Amino acid sequence: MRTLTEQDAVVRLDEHIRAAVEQLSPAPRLEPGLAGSMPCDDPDDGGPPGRVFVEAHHWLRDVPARRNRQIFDTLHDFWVAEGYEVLSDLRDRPEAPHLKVRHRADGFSVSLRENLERDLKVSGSSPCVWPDGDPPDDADAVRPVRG
Amino acid sequence: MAAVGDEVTYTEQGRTYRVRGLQAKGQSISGGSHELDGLITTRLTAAKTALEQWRGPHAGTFVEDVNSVLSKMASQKVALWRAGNIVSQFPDKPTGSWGSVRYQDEIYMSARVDLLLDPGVTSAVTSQLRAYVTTSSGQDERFSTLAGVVNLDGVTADVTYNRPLTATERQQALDAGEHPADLDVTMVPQTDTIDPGTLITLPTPNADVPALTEGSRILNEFTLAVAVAFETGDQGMLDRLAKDPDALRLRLDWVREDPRRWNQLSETERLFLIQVLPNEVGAMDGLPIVVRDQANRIVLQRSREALQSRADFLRTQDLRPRPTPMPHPGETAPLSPADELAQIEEKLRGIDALERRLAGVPGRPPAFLVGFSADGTGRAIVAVGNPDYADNVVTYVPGTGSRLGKINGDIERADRMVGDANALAPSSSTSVITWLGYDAPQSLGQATSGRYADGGAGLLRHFQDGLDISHIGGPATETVVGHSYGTTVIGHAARDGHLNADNLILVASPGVGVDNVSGLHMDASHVYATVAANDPIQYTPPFLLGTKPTNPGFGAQVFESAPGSPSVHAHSEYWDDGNVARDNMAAIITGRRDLVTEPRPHPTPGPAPTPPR
Repeated sequence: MRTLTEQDAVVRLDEHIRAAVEQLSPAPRLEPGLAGSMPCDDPDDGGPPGRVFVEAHHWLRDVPARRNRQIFDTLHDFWVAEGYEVLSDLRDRPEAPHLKVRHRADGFSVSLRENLERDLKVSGSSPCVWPDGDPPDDADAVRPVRG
Repeated sequence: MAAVGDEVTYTEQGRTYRVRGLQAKGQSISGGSHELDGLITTRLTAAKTALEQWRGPHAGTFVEDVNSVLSKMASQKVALWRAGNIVSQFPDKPTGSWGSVRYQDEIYMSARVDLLLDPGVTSAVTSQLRAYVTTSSGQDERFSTLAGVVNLDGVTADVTYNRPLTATERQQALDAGEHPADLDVTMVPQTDTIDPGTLITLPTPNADVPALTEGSRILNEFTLAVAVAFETGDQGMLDRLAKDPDALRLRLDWVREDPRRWNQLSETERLFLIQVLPNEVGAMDGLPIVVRDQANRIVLQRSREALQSRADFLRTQDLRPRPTPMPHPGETAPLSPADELAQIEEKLRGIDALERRLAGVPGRPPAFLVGFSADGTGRAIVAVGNPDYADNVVTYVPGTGSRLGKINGDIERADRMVGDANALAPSSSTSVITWLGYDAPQSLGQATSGRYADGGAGLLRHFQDGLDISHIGGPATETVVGHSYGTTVIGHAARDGHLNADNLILVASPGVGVDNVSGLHMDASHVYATVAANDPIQYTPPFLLGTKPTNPGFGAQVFESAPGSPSVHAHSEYWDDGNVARDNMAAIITGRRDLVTEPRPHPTPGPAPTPPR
């Protein structure tokens, strides 16, 4: 099945993250963290080999910690309104709260996390995509399943 | 002399030589031969000078052997120099004939010596010279397996000259009425084919060669050690080598008994051991990670060259698909050249990815090569961040299908685990080691057997013990994470001995070889397990590998993972950023078990999202 290309996925993921950050006022400064792609097939998961996840992290800087809860709530309401499915909502946890959502249409997930020092980080990942968008010719071959 | 295209014709002493394909070959060798020449001269001088100082009790026969080989090598150097000269300058200056380079064995030896002496410096040379290890025939038995070969395939040559009549020809001419006096001066043209394949033999590629004999091994190491000792001016090492050619290996054996002794070695001794015995140093659990890293990078480089040579050779073979012959009982079927080439190419891609990560990636911690072998399906132990200095040390054991050619994905997981842990707890540091230090099953059929786990269990225990020895500062919090069959390896390691770890994390386990957590000899509250609701691994029958650690009766701490896609793909989604399993693993790794979340009921999995178009 044809998918976004890896590069398209990088762009789309960035759009998801930017859309979230734009809800915040005053706007935090984004500091890039880990980014890259990773094979999303496992040799024994039975899926066709060769696809990748794209992932990106950004720290939200220049945000006073007292605003953290408000940011969690703002993004929760934004994501729900935009049709994201809530995967995990631990906003109420006193330490290391997090909120994870996934876009119902395109399968991208986005997370907001607070670490033990109360820094906020927004991150996301794409669903599995073929690097060039097109599966190789033999990708639909059925592989046995188990691990 | 005339050159037309890549065919060269020249006449010397009444003989006309016609050589094809040499220009191309000569050009590729020319750069290397001069560098090699200088290198060998230096090394030989060093070794010979050191030998003259040798006064120890073991000198005797061995010194004679070494002396004879060294003088042989000296003349071989000349032969190689001449060969290189002839080949590289052939189109312009035919200073010699092919006959003058018929020192096959000597050329082999020189190339081999080069390979042994300085693989780093001479990698370019060896790749040009195509030096292989091969068996040679009829040499001194002691060195019978010690030979490199300069591969001149692609070069063809013949020689035309006039010769007197043979007895038969003369008789035929007399019978035909020729005058005997005329026949005395009659010459007839003769053309002989010179096959560079016999002149400089096409190699038996090194993968097929049995291990070097003990004698040649000692000689190789000795020669190199002497050369290094001389160059670094280490008189102490020279004295020790003079007493016993195996001094270096004995020194390493002494370290092996207690790896902490590494720090008692002199700086030169450490350098020696890394340079001369990189395989042994690289594989020694308990040595400092940076030391193993240095040694294994040498091993990696050598392996890459050997694989590249083998691939080049295979590409000259018939690569058409052919039916696999039936193996003899008890043996595996030999690979076809095409299949072997595909495997090597995959390994080389894995090595490429590994080298890129080892070279450093902006924004990610440095990576260290803690173990490496290209044998079989390949092994690699790669640390993201230096575990010797980390507060939290994680060993990640990958599962079915893991091999050198696929190591990239596993290291990416390690990068994410490090990133997650350091993001959650910035005040502590975390290192994650991808431990592909065992032969993983490569098929689902193989993964139904506990044999591979048994093979890895002892190695994993030994590795974990080594981490404690080399760690600097107070003890680290050690976690061993397994995925899929990797959990089975961990289970067998803990079941059959003491696995040195504070926490176990068993992700998507098909079974860990015991039916209850008590069989793992660990504090049950520190044995964690998870499986996605949609992961088919949970349907593995328990009679194969034991009870799954996520079963309620097993007694492990089961933690939450996202349910995953309702497809087989859920088996590998644990390292997706959207998966809460990643947050839970980061909490365990950093010692914040209070933040670990328990599984939530997932009544019905939702529909899979439509892949984006």
